[in-house]
Amino acid sequence: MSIESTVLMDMDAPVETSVTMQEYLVFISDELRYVVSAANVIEIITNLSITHMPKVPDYIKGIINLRGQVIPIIDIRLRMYRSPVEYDEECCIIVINMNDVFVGLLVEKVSHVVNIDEENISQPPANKKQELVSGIVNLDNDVYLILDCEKLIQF
Amino acid sequence: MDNAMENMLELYLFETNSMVEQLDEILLNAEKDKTFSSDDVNEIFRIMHTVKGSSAMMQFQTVAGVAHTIEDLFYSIRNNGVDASKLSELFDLMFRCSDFLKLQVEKIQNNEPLNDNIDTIVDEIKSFLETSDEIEEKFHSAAPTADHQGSAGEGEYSIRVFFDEGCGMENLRSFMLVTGIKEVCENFTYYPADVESNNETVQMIMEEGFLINFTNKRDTDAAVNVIKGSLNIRTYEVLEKKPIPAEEYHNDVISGLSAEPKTAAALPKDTPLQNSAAASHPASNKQSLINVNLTKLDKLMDIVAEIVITESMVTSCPDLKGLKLDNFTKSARQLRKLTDELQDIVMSIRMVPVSGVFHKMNRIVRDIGQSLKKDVRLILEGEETEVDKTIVDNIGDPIMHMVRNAMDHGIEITSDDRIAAGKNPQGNIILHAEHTGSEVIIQISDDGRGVNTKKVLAKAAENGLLVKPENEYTQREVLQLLMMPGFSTKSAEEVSEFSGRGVGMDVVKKNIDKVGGTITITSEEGKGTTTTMKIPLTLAIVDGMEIAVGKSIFTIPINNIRQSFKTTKDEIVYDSNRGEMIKRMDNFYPVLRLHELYGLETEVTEIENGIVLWVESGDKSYCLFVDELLGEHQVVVKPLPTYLNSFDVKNSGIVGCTILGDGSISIILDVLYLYESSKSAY
Repeated sequence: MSIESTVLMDMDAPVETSVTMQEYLVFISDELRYVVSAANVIEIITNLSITHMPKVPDYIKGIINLRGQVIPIIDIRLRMYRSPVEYDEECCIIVINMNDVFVGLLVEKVSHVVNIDEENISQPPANKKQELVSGIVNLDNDVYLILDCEKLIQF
Repeated sequence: MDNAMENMLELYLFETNSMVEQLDEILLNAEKDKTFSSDDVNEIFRIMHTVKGSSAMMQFQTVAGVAHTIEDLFYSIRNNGVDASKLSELFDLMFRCSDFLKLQVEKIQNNEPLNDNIDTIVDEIKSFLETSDEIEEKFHSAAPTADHQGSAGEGEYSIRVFFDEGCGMENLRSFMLVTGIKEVCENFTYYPADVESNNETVQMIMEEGFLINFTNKRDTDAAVNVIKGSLNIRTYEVLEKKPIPAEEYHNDVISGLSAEPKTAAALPKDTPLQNSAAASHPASNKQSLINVNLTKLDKLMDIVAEIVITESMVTSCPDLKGLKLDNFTKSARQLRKLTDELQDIVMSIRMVPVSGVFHKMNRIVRDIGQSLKKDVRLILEGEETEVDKTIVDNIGDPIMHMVRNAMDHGIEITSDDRIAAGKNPQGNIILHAEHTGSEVIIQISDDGRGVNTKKVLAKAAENGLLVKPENEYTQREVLQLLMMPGFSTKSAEEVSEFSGRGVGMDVVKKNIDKVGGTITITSEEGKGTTTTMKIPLTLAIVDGMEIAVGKSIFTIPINNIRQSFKTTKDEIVYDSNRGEMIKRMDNFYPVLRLHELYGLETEVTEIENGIVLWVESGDKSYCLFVDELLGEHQVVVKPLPTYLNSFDVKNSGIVGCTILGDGSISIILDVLYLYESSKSAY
């Protein structure tokens, strides 16, 4: 399955994308490659001062003012129950819009955009509980985890 | 098209709702006077007529059907009067009809399927009609023309209107047109004259157009304006010649030489403004009012808020620091004045009087009074008081609950009980509204039995709502118990149709909380109960005090702050739980340290180094310890992102946020919630 898809990608990707192809934005958090559907991504911002919010879980870093709109920021690392790290210049905020709920995802690094064929998405193994991953894709020998944004904004 | 349709539906709902409300009011007044004046009859007739026309056009046949039967009824009443012995039956019937219409409109609003079975209510009206009087003739048209052929020859101008092909219901559209034209001029005739009741005219109108005859040029021009504003009109032509007698009309259609054809394509007919013109209220004294969609006002409000922020961004721009700019300062001051004015006007646009909500209560008092056999008078005071539209929407239900409670539990069961207590046999419920500075106060008071504190306590104990021994409860705390969820003084078998389900009061409290208000009950046994709701006037822009704790900036509404002062360790006293207190004006107030409560890092932990704010909200008063005061600002309250609401931040004292002049965010604190969260934290 995975080999087939790789071959398919090599031939098709540069030429044209099929109907079931979708663009995904790849970001890195705790050395894992996650993807979110590019259709949901509003913008990627760096260097924005985050206002701390008291009385909310740790993984909510606070709120930001994005051109008059107030957006909460979720630290993906902490949300995935990883240990916190010092953020450097590469880290940034991906602002996504899920059903008119705007949230910013604080990630360590945004790398690139990939095309993923829906057919190549496989379900995460049921026995290993991956709370916020709705699917796994293997492209060019790299594994991408699809972030379940809907689950992310429900809590 | 979808958009146009939605606009039309919205207009229809608005219009029909206000019509039915008007109907209720007329009925209530008429019932009070125990007679229908001819004005009342005409007015009801007109209302039903409009409801019928617009409902039929929107294809809500059930509503149109009922309205049509009522119209028939009042046609008969108009001509033959009504027997005095039948009056009360008629009132009951009419109230049921108005309830039915309300229900249907509500269903349309909620996108639910309409009640198809209108036979019962229609039959009821019809049987009433038959018993009361013989109807000589079925009523056909409300238009002032009885006979088109007789009057058709008098006119000198006529307009022929063609509707869009396949738009359907041409006859009703024609009729709507006639209703519209009737608003601007009186003397005109139209052909076919029985468009409203005769479905066969559809074909005729489709083929030959709808012909309207006028006697002078002025009326014609006015009518053209109405036609321009109407929907689904393909073309129309103004014929300036001897009008065609109806019989010859057939042959003349092709030879309309002096006709001046216009195409509908040139008309901006789909804009909402034109729509509203087409369906505008028939009452001519409302010409100076327009209906505006609330979302547009909200948008306007948002923009004004942005302007206020931007203005402070410009005037307090760091680049200007240290510069002496006389002209700039002058212009900035002027700008400030204008934005203040703009803000005031936008706020005032959203203000509506509470009278609408108040008047609805008349109906509730009447209905409950009848079924419980209680004679109660509702007195309205200060109904012209204006409040923000969102507040009006939110206080309707709470007031209704309170009035129901007063009717059901407050007022004595029989008038004998009242006489025995030395009161007027007729009970009084007073609805009162007034402004006090930044708040609007709404009071519902009755002169009934009052609250029996012993019964309340016993009930609360039974439901396990008590948190301390019964004898420690003060009168005030007992009354607060009434608003606990799940509290109802009535036992299950006593639950009445109108109240006593035990959901009333806590829902009232929740609704009032939602608009940032407070609710208190005072009561004296045997004398009556008064419920007071205090609601902040405007929700969007407040004067706030910026305070700093560590790296965070918070805003506290100025009107919650009584005093700010420096203090020393010596002034702090401790209560039995090691809680800190400070004495101000002969009273001790607890001290709350914001940095401890929110777990913020700060270097200011000694009471001498920071500053203490004495704050007050509702019945809570305490001192808040913060690092420093940054200054006073007018801030625009922005709601917190919906995502954060799921973490219940409001209950930890965070009610919103605001964007400061430099683009950073400040969190707005609610003094009352802050205190309550501190109580639960310790």
